Amino acid sequence: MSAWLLPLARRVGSLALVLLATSFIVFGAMYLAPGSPESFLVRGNSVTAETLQAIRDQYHLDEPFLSQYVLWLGGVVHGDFGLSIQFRQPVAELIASRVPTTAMLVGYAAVLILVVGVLVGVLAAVKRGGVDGTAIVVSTVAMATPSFVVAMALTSLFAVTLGWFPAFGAGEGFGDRLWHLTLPAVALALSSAALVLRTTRTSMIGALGKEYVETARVRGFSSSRVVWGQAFRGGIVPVVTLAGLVISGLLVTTTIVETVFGLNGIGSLLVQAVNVKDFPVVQAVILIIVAVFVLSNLVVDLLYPVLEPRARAKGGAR
Amino acid sequence: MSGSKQMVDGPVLATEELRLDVGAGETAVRILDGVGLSCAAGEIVGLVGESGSGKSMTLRTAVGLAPKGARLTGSVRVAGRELVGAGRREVLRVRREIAAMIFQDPRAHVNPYQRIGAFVADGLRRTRGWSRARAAQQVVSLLDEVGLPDPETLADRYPHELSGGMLQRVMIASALSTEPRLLLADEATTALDVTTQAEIMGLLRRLREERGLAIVFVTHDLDLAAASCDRIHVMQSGVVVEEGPALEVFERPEHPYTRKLLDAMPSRLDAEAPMPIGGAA
Repeated sequence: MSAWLLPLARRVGSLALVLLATSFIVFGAMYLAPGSPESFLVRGNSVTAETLQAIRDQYHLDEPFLSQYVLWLGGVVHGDFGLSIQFRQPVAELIASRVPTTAMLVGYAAVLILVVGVLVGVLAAVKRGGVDGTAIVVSTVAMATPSFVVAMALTSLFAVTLGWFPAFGAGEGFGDRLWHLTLPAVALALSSAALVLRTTRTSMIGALGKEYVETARVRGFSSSRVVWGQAFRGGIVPVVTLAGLVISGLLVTTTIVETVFGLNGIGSLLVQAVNVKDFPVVQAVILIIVAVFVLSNLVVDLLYPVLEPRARAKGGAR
Repeated sequence: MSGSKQMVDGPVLATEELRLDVGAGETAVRILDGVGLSCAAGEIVGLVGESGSGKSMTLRTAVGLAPKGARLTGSVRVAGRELVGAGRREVLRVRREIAAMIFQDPRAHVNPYQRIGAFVADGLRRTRGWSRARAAQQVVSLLDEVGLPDPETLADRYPHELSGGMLQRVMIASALSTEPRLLLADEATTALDVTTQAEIMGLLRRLREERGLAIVFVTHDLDLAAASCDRIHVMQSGVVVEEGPALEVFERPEHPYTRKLLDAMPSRLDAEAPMPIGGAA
C-alpha cells in the first residue's frame, strides 16, 4: 500500500511547491509592472485622496512587496482568494461563473484534436501516398499559423461571408452553445490537432513496421484488425503522452481565442485582469492553469504504465 | 487431378520455377531464380543457406508475404491453392486456414501489449469468431500442448515476463491455434541457446508426429537441419543447388557450396583442430 501511497504523496507535495513558486513569480511580475491597480479603477474620474487611500489600504498596496505576498498567500491557504479589484466581487465567485464556458470550449477543442488528429494520422500512416502528402502539407500550414490568425480567417469566412456560425458570444443552452463555440473550438484546436496528427502518423508508421504486426498479418487478420487491433495499441502511447500536454496547453491559447470571439471565459478574464493589474484575479487564474498543467501531467504519468506493460515491472510511474 | 480430395494427398507446399524480382530496369534484382520445393504432410523439410540466399523469401511467398513491388512468377501451391497472382481473399484464406508461421525473434513477433492468453486467443477470435470464453479454454490446452507449465497463470502474463524459449513456445501455440496443415519456421531456433534450441526442435518433431504437420524449417545451420529434417534443400543466391534426404546431403554433399557450408560449421572446425583447453594434460 505505502509503495503506492508514497509516490502519490510526493506528487501532491511537488504540485504544492510548483503552485507556490509560480504564484510568487506572478506576484513579483505584477508588482514590478508599471501602473497601479487603483489608477486603472478610477481612470478619468476625479476621486478624493481618501477614496484612493481606502482602496490602497484594502489591498495592502502600501505594504512592502513580501508582506503583500504573504497576506495574499495567507488568504489563499484559508480558501479566500480575495476580491477582484475591478469587479468588486469575490474572485472565487467570478471564476466559477467563467469556468463553464472555458471548460466547454477546451473540451470541444480536445475532442476535435483527438478525433481529427488521431483518425487522419492513422489514415495517413496506413494509406501513405496522396493522403499522406496532403495531410503533411495541411498540418504543416496549420502548425505554423497562429491561433488569432485562424480565428480571424474563420470568422471572416464562416461567420461574416457565409453566415453559418455566429462570430460572437457563447450562446444559451447546450445546442446553441455548441453552435456558438464551434468556430472558437476549431481556432483553438487547429495547430494542436496538426501536431497530434503528425505524432500519430509517425508513431503509427513505426508501429505498422513492427514484427508483431507482421505476425498479425501472417495470421490472416483483416486489415482493420491489423491496424486498430494490433498496431494502434502500441502506436497510440506517444500520442497519449503528447495529448496531456497539448490539451492543458489549450488553456493558455484560450486567452487569445476567447478575446477574439468575445467569450466570457477564464482566458478573456485573465486578459482583462492583467490589463488593469487586478492581481487577485490574475493570481487565481494562473494558479488554475498551472494546476491543470501539473495534474494532467500526473494523469499521463499514471496512465503510462497502464498503456505500456513493460513499464509496470519497474514499479509504476517514474 | 481435378478433385479436391486428391489435393489433400499431394504435398501441402509445392513451389515450381519460382522467380522473384525486386526493382525495375537497370536496378532490378532477382531474389529467387527458379526455386522448386515441396513438403508433404508429416514431413520436415530443411531450407538451408547463408544470409541473402533467398530461403526466408521462399518461405514468405507461401503466406503471400512478398516485398512491396516484387514480381513473382512460377507457382506456389499451398494445399493445392495457387498463390502466385492470387487475390487477397485467397491469401487470407491460406493464412487463416492452412499455413502458420513462426519467426526468429519471438520477443519481437509476440505483441508486447497483449497478455499471453489474449495473444494466442486472437487467432481463434479474429479469424474464427470464437467467443472470449471458448477461446480462453482452447488457449490453456494449446499452451499445455507446447509444454508450457501452469498454462492458466501463464495466460495472464505479459511477454516481457517470459524467456525467449517460452515465448517461442507461445508463438508455436498461437500458430497451432487455427489447426494449420503447414508450419513455416523462419530461423525459429537461431536466437535461442543450445538447450532451448534442442527442446524447440523436439517439440516441432513431436507436433509433426501428432498433428501430421508439414514443416518447412529455414536455417543457416546445416548440422541442425541434418539432425532434425527429413529432407534438405540447400540454397545459394536464389537457387536450390542441392536437395535430398538430410543425412545424404550432410554426409555426401555433391555441390561445392554445400561442402563449403559444411566446412564452415563450428563443429567441423572443432573436430579437425581440437583446441587444447586447460586440464587436457
